[in-house]
Amino acid sequence: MSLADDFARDSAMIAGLLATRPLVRALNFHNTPAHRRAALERQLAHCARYFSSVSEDDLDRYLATGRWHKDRPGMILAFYEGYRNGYDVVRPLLDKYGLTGWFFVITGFVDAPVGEQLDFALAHGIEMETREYDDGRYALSWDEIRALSKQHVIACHAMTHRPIAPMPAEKQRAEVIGAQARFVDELGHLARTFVSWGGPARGEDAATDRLIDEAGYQFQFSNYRIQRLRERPVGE
Amino acid sequence: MIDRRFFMQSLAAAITTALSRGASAAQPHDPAEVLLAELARLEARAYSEEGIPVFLACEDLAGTANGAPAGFTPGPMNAGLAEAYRNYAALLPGLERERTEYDAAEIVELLAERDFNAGGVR
Repeated sequence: MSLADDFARDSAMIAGLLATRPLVRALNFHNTPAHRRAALERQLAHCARYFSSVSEDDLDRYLATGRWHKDRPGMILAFYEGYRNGYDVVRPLLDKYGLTGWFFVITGFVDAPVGEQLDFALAHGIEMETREYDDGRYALSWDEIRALSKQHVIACHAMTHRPIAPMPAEKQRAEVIGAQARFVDELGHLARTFVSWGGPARGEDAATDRLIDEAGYQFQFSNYRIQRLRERPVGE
Repeated sequence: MIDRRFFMQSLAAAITTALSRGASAAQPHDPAEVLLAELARLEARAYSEEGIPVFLACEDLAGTANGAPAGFTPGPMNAGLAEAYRNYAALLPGLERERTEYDAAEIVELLAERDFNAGGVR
């Protein structure tokens, strides 16, 4: 397949989704270093003025009914990877503007020993253009994740930030189920939302789909979609 | 392989220079020129450190569901975005730029950025 063929295929799919599916807006962040705090605050202030936060329960209701129930359009504020500055820089601004953040945590990044987090990041496609912590801890700690979880969404971004489908079965299992187990261990409950590197959607890899079901995730995020996989979170 | 960020920053700089040559050239009216300039501007963003607006399509696959939620009826927003996407997608192959695997996503990002800046009002 050439780039032109890929573009034609993707365009047909995207135009179809835009035409026929309920849409939700998202603002995607990765690293949120302190030197970009002012720009971040401008965007979050804009969100607070014109959009509504989205919780997992809000999303559940929207996907179940197809109707958005708040006055202003929903905006998912997504913070990918699990950078430490999600706590130091993002959290105070979310609190200031009364917004809900979605923190997509790579469990292997968080679990890497402090002295190895930079190497882990560089080896797993986690951008480290800005390195603002002299002590070498670049990932959220589980204490910080627990604190964030009281007001924000903690979602699973798999274990290593690598494409899952080509992996051997044992590693696929670690990425999907092993990562979920870390949330259970540390937060005391399952993560409801899953997204893996590259954003494959439901139906693109049957083995991954089976593992996502087994792990009990309710929502799957991908490049162009959010898919609700079960009517209720596991345990409810 | 060409470094995508360097290539796009160079392209953005070239476009900025071209647009600064005169008032008549500063406001491209041809839709293809507008798209070219807009994509170059978006691609020059620091994707790893800036907030990037996008749209996500919602699907209900729970139980026997298999696509759009049962109570959903597509509205003007759906039709408008789909038409805008198709129009840009038809223009893109003719642009004088290097094709990338991100072309389709960048059209979505362009539409989402405009929506974001407008406060989601349609």
